Amino acid sequence: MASQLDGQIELVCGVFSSDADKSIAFGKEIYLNDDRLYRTFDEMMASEARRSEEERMDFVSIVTQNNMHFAPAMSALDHGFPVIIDKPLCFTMDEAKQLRAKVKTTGLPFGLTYTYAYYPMLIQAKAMVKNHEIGKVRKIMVEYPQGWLSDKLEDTGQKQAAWRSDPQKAGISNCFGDIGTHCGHLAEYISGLKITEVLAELNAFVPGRTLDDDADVFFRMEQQAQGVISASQVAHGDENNLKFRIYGEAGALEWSNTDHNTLLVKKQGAPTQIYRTGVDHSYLHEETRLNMRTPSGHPEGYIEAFANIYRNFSDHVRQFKIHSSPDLRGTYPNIDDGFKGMALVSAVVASSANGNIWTKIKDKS
Amino acid sequence: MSSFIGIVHRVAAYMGENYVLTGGVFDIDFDKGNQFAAQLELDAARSYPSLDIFIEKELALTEEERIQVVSILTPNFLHFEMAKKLVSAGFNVICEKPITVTADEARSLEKLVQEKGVVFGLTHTYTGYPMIRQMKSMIAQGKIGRIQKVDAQYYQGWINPSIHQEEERKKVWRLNPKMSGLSCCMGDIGVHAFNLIEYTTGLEIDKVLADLDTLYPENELDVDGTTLLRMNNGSRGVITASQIATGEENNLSIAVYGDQGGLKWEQEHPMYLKHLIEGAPTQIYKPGNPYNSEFALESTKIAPGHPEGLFDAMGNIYNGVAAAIYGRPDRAGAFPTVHDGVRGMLFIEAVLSSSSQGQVWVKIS
Repeated sequence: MASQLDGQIELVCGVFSSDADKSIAFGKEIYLNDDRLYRTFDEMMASEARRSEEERMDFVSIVTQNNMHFAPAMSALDHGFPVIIDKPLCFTMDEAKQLRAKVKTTGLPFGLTYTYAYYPMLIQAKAMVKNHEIGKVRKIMVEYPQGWLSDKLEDTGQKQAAWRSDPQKAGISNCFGDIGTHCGHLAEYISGLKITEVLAELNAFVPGRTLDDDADVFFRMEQQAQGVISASQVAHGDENNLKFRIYGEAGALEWSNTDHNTLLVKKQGAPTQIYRTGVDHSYLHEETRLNMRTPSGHPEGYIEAFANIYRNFSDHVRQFKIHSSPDLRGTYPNIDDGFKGMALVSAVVASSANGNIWTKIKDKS
Repeated sequence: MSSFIGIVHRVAAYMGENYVLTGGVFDIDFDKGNQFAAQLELDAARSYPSLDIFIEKELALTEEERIQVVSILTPNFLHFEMAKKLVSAGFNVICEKPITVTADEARSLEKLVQEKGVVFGLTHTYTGYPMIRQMKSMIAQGKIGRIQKVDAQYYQGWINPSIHQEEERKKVWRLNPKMSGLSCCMGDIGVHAFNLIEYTTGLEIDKVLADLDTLYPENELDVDGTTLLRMNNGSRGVITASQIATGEENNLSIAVYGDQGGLKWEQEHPMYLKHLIEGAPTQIYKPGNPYNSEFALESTKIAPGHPEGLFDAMGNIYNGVAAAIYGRPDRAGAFPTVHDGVRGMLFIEAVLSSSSQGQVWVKIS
């Protein structure tokens, strides 16, 4: 969905499941060409590489479980395809080294989806730190409580929980590998400083778990900055409550995933400032504005609201062509709503112009 | 005096250490009034059965001994008669709002206060919040420019459970015109919104266009209303008030917009005043900070970041200690004890020791 947002990227082929039949069925459902639905990633890389340069895919997106990152990524690079991949990068440090070497030798673009870092207000935070707006960094606090593994969800057959808590699939860490990595990445990304050493305590609170479901980490950074990460998957009731705070010698920044269009800018003895997203906000840094799509006061969900109207409308157009009625999912504002809107406006204008009197809405055509 | 508003007045009066509760007419039922006086260990001779006797006996005392100021906290219909008698007898008065039942009564009272030269205070409580005073100061300083729009909302839901059955409705004195006066919703809470608008802006509301609802034809007084406003500088505004906004508690808010910016405040979050500035980040003003006006700073008793509820918290601890001294049944956690002090010191020592030994686990013993 994210790849489609700007109309620059088109899905042309893929492997969509480890079950080959399911993979092909899904590809058909989204109207891909039958000859570009593949059963395995090896088949896809080889077959796409044989196509003409015009026709072949431009890059691969890898969104599999952690243990299935390395092999497809290496294969893609070997066949000359740039890669965008979910984090964590791979399963072991050894795989990471091989991948990095491969990316360097091929020179191909390689992207990692540390999603949170690219919220506009965190891009702004990074730019403000770089621009010395909070002075030299002293302290970073990153919290990431989630509650979804508070009970032993992996025993219920829930797929995500099952693989994330399985050392064979998730690797050496569950909680820290999944969400602690986001915290560490944000600390380095926004401060521009490297984490040099850590003191950690990982816990597996839910009995029977071998991998961590909770983590507390002190860290030290370059230039005497320090910080703390507290991440948990057993924080009852917390959904995805990532919060980032950074304190410098001249000010502080605070951001929360649950209110991601806001960046608080704090200076001792001055009113806290609320920075908000909006392409029209000239007080934001240029890199922030280049990473936004909507005007101020219009959160990203606004685009989804629009998308619902377009989807429901196109559903109806499709059904209209085969002379059936719209399904339940799909209403959208129609001609009657437009008419009523005009009737409302004209009644309001008449009421005011006539000296503020009750005015009937004439919504019968 | 034992009602909700009685407690608020009493605690508030003690807060500045300017008042001592000396005597009064504490209940319509003299026995209950005496019980109240005994509970507070007041001089029994100064618990009076009626206001007339109160005035007669107090005037017989020397000026040094005599009560200086009287608070009127009765149902609305009694305010005027009591205030008139007290002012005529030369007492200073603090009166709950609404000041009277009709505007004519209020004007005659104003005249009497001027003649007698007493101090008369009306408890439009919300004007006492530090951030409302800051708002008033900022508007007076021209921080938001020429005012062009005001919007005050006051939503409560407490009448909803009583309004739908006649029997229940009869129990609500505010719905009884004989006790409440001309209006319930606008008289009780709409007037707060009105007062806040005039108080903060320094403007007067010149004329109104109102739509009130009693919800049931047999219910005599309004429980909901919307009022359009024209201000004496030509600008427009609106007051929306309701006591049947189901689920709302005491949701009063005010927004004032000028040609340079806006100011917004909510009673349920009283420590935050938002200053909206075109093309710049919104600023959050909070009490006690040096950037506030002198008037707002004088109205704050505690350090920044300490909400007004701190007084309640401290009061609860004092109450807990008193209960223990009087040997009342011990409620665990009613106040921190010497043992909590020991635990605190052990904690601090362990933390220092852990850090100085190079970050190792240290037992709290």
